[in-house]
Parts: sequence; C-alpha cells; structure tokens
Amino acid sequence: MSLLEVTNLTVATRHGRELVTGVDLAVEQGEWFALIGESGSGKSITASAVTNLLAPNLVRRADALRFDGADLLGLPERDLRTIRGDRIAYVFQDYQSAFTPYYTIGNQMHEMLRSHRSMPPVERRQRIEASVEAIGLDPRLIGRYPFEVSGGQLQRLALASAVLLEPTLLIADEPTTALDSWSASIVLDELASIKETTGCSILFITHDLRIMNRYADRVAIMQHGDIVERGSKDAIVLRPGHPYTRDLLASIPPLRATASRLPVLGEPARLTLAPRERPTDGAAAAEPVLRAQGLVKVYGTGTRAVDGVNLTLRKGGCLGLVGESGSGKSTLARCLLSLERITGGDIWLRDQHLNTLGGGPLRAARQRMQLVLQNPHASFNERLPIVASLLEPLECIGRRSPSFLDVGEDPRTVAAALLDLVRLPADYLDKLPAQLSGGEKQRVSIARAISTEPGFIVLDEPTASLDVSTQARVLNLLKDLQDALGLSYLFISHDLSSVHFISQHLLVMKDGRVVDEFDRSGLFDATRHDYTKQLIELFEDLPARA
Amino acid sequence: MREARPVLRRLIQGVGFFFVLTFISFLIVQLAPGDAALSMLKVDTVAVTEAEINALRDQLGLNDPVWQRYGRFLAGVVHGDFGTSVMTGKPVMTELTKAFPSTLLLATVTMATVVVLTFVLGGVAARRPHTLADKAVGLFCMVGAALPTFWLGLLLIDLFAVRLHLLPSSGLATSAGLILPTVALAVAIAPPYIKILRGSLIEASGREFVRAARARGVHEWVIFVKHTLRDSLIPLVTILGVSLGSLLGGTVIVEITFGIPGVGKLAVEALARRDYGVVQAFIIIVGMAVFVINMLVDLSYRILDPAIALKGAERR
Repeated sequence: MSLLEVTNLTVATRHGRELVTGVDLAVEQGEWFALIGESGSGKSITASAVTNLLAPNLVRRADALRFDGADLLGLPERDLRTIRGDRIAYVFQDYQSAFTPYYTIGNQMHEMLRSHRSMPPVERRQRIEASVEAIGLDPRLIGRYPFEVSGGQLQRLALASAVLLEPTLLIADEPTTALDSWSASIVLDELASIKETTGCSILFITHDLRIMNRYADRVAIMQHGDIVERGSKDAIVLRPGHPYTRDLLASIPPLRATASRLPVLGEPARLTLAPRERPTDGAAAAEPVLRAQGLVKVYGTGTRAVDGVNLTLRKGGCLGLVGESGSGKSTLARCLLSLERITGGDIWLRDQHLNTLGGGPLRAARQRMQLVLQNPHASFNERLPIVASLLEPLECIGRRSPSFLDVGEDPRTVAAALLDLVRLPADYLDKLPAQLSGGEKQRVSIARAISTEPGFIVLDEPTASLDVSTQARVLNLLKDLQDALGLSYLFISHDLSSVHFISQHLLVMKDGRVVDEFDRSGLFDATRHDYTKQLIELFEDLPARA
Repeated sequence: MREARPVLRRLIQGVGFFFVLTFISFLIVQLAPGDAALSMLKVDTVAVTEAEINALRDQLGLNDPVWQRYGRFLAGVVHGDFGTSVMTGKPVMTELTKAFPSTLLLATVTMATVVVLTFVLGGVAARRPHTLADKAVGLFCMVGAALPTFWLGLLLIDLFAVRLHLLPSSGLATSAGLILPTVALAVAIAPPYIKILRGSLIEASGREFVRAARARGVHEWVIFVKHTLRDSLIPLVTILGVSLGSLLGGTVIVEITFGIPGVGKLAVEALARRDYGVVQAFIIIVGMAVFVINMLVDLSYRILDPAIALKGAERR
C-alpha cells in the first residue's frame, strides 16, 4: 500500500473551471517523488489539495485520497488539522511568508507544537532547539523575526519547523525556486538528509529538472492540470516519451555542450531582418563599449557592495556576471547604468568618462544604455497599453524608428515591427500588461530595450522569474537578436548555466569582488577558482538522452 | 535607545507643531473681520466715541505690534490662560473645562462602541463573505452611513424617550443619557471601519503566511485572532486615530440634538458671537490633542508591526 494515494483528483474553481483534471498519484513509503510542471500546470494546487489547503474559491473532488490507510476526503476540517503539520508537513516556495511577520520564529514553532501535543514549555524549547541545530543553524535564530534572517536561513528554519513532529510525508512545494543556487543546494541537501534520518517520504514539486535528476526516485510530469508522463527518474531523463518532457529537458542550457541555440520546440530559428551593416569580426568587433576600472561602491552603512571591479564589455559581445544574491552584481549593474553614484573608480561608455558626467550630458549618455529587469510584472505601467510602453524610449530620445527597421515612421507600424522581432503578434499592441504572460512581457521589455539601439543592454536576471521552457525561448531570442543586430549585453544571473550559455566572457562575483574571470571555453579549466568549481557542481548537466 | 528615539523625535515635532498652531490660531483671529473692542462696547447699544474705542483697544493691547501681541498670547497659553470670554466674562479656560468632560466622555464611550461594533460585525462579515450575515452587515453599513446623524438622533429620541420613556432625551445627568447619543454617533462612524476591517481581514486570510500556519496544523481560531486579525490592525488603527481626533473636537450636531454641553456646541456658539478667546483655545487644545493621538497611532505601528521598528532603526 502506498503512503499517499490520489485517485482521479479534480480541482475546479467555483465557476467550474478545472485547474487539475483527474490526477492519479501514489507516493511510496520513504521515496522522493518529484512532481514536475511549469506555472499553471496545477502541480501546487495538487499538493495543496491533499490536506485541503486550497484557496476558498477552489473545490476538490476525487475518487480516493488516502494517506497511510486513512481516507482524507471524508475527514472533517478539525481532523484534517491534526494531520497537517504532524503527519503531513509542508514547505512552500515563498519563504518570506513561511512565518507570520509579527511574531518571532520561535513563537510560531511553539505555537505549532502546542497545536498538536501538550508538553511543558521547557520540553518544547528543547525540541525546537534540537531541530534547528539539526539543520545546522544557530538556535538563537528562533528569537528573531522572520524579516531579520536571510532568505536561505528562513527557508531552512521553515524546514526545521516542518520536521519538528517528524511527519511521514513532507510536501515541498518549490522550496528552492526563490533562493539563489547556493542557498538552494543547502536546503536540498538538508531535505535529503532529513529523508535519510527520519525515513519520511517527500513529495517534491518543482520545475527544475536538475533537482529532479539529482534527488528524485520517481517522477510525474504535469501539464495543463494533468499528468502527461510518469516513471522512474532514470526512465524520464534517459527515455522521455512525451514531447513536453523532451521539451523541458531540452530547455536546460548544458554546460558541456556548445550548441548555439537550445533545441526547444515552436520557435523559428532565425529572424527576418533587412540585411544591415554590421561590424565585422576582428578589430571592429573587439572595440570596448563599456569599461570599468577599480569600481567601488560603499553604502552609508559601510558595506562594500562593490569592491574594486574591473570589466570590459566589447561591441557585439556578451559579458556574463554570475553571483549569488548579495554578491553585489545588481549594485554593480546600477553603478554601470549611472543609477547609483560610485564611491571610487572609473566608468567609460566608449570614450566618454561616465562617472564625471552630470545633468544634460549624463541624460544624453543614458540614452545609449538600456535595462531589462528580472520582474517583468513590475516593469510596465499596468494602465498603459503595450504600444505606449513600447514606444516610450523612442519618444524620449525624439526618434521615430530604429535604423534597423525598414518600415517607415508610422508609430504603430514601428511598434508592430518591434514586436515581430521578439515574435509577438501585432494585436498585442493594444493589450494591457495584465493580459500578457511573464514570458511575453519579458519579450516586450527586450523589444523596448533594443528600440533605441543602445550601446549596451544590462539584462539583470531577465529569465529568473520565467518557466524553464519560456526561459529557454527567451535565451534563444536574445542570442538571435544579438546575432542579427550586433547588440552588446551585460547578462547578470545566479544561474551559471544560462550565463554560460549566452556569454563569451564570464565574471564570477562574490562579496562585491570578482573572484574569477574566464572565457566561455575555459569553464572546466583546472585553474578555475574553487567557488566557480562549486558552482559548476551545482549546475551539473543531466545525463545525455539514450 | 531604539524605543526612546522616535518618542523624542515626536516630542520635538510636537513643540514645533505647537508654535505653528498657536501662531496660526493667533493670526486667524487677528485677520478676522470685526473689532473685538467695538463689539464689546456696542453691547449696550449706546453710541461710542472713537476715543472710547481706542482706549479699550489700548487696554486690550490691540494697538501693540503683532509680535508683541503674539508673545503675550503665547505666554498666556503656556500658563493655561486663554484670556477672558468676551460674552460670559469668565476665563476661557473655565468655559472649556466645563465643556470638555462631556465631550471626552462621549468621545471615549463612542470610540469604544465603534471598536466593538467593528470587530464583531467586520469579523462576522469577513468569516463568511457573500453569505446572508455578510450581506446583513453590508446593509447595516449602507443605511448607517446614509442616515443623517441628527435625523437618527431625533428618531431615537422619539422612540426611546418620547414613546417608550426608557431613556432620557437630553443631557448627561445620568449615565443612561449617554446611550442615545452614543448609538447615533456610532452608527454613523462605524460603517467605514466595518468595511475596512472586513476587507483587510479577507485580504489577510488569503495571505501566504496564513496558509503556512494552517499547514502547520494551528487551530483555526488561533489563526484568525493571532495571525489574520493582527495583520488587519494597521489600516484600522490609522483611521481610528483620525476619528478620535474629530470626536474630541466635539460633535456639534449630536451635542445640539441631545442637548449636551460639549466643546463642539461651545465652539459653534463662540464663533457665532466672535468670542475669539474661546475659538483660539479650542483650536489649540483640540489641535494638540489630535497631534498627540496621531503620535500615539504612529508609535503604535511600531508595536503592531515589528518590521517598522526595525526599519526605522536602520534608517538612522
């Protein structure tokens, strides 16, 4: 008998729209079961439905929902409550909301123990401290408020609280998606060791196939509310049957391959652009567009966010910047864009000494820089139609059309041509941002950034909030645009594989300093910094398909 | 230190605010049309000569330069001396201390009623949105907000005092006299609070941390009281402060309807009779009271949300 048995589970809104359509699932005792899917596939809803943690506007139906022999479907809410946290525990993606911000973490761990067991406070305290120590954290952290600890620590504390009562099933709903790769690997290793020591089963929900490959025993792939493929991990990775599974596997930029595009479906390989004069390779292509020397940024609190960074971005090239959160990579980007006053060092945009400029000349120089941000949902005015946001930069610099387009000067035609470059249809012009998906918004952001023909574009985690398959398509698009238009990118991410895929030259940042620097081909050289080597390990390639 | 500094900063702000407030209230009266000396002398409807007016102006200090008059005024205010009421001839302070207790009593009892009403009705509505209970609360809010206070007051008097003889129709001679004005005020004030609490409770119950607490197996009522309600308090406390301030300024209509000798009534009468001393004292005392309430509201945020206290400490 399986530990958790879900038969024909359907979750629908009160208006009857089905988000999960007849899912069958069985999690065995002591296994790591990975439920793979992208946003909107219904995987998180499936996980929440197990103990009916669904939003009030959702209703679940199933033929059977059995846990350890007990029927979860017929249980009244007050009995379900005693199972949650005790027998079935959860860890969610949003670590900032793992605990209520108004109480200390310890307070909420005590509250959880009190909800399930009556024991003296001293005993509760010992148990909590033991649990926090077991995941390798200082027990004094429990005296803090959730916002007083870092993201990685908070997620580990959430994990410590989830295993306080040694549950038999741990449901981990994208627990590492919001963490940088470094913190993520710590959380994952702890999960694995918890499974090892307590023998619990893990239902792991993710869209990250690397994690699946590393930890899972069995896998189910979800798409559009249904499971499209299931099997042992090896079978899924080596012999994927369903086209969607294959597409997901193809979406991961492998570190060891040299393909210039990711082999995902549904994208034309080339752009149709009027042939343009482009810098030929060699001397002209090597001309630096952006240079920084000895860049230092110290904040008022004394934090050296950027500490002596040198970099050169060459025309038509892509410079990759890898680092975990807090390494100073975004601060560096803000300095380069003159959005942040630097404390020391020099920045040149071509031959213009950027950090000495101010007022009008600085504004003029800024027209030659563009930025694409991580969160596509926050980069648009929600009340303006796409066409207005898209054309704004051109209007700001008083031009009608970028020179690489041959479509005349009619604003709508220009906007439609820009959208076409990022492979969006012209009828998106009149849509509002809310009607677009994250990937589509990011495409519009890219179109907006290239419209002014900037000297360089800073891409600050442009794919971090996108699904893997969307991410792969955006990466392909960025490469195609660069090939066609000779764009220069500064690509910032904590995802080594994406940075490596798109960049010719890479910088590795840690604590404000560049600790390693190398050409794309030099990734596996023995001379790499230890930190880079550790990163490489985290992004180990999936085994090649049979 | 982390606790003391914001309090200290508020106190300094309070002193600054005091000067601004006293100066403005001083100026308003200086610039107001009408001549206090003239209107004092004119009481007896006897013709007065220019010399007589000037003599009184000198006596009242009205001919001195502005800054001198302000200084004198300020010195008086600091000592609790707002001058003499032109109409009654008694010190302004006496007039106000006579009126304030009624207002203070009514304001406090009303506020307490509003808070209770808000938590009960807002909570009921938010627990089961779109049900009959929620709709009933919604209807109450709509009617309560739409009813003119004086009319509701008259209806209450007509029903409970005139027809049923259960409660006194006016005055605060007995504590029973408080009931009708409190009801009339609370019904008018509570609807927006109920709506706001209902909205923020519903929003809070959809928050991720509420789901996380539920996933830990915490009792539903603990989640509601400790997690959801706590999250809804800040917007509520903010506007409660505003209302308390305006209640302290007196509720003219209710005071007149129920014959309560409060500051609202006093201030309106003083305005009508150009009794400037009373008006000035009213502006300053109520203004400072509102400032203190707002200060307490601001400081309460730091208790309601520990993140605010921490961020405030970081900024310095």
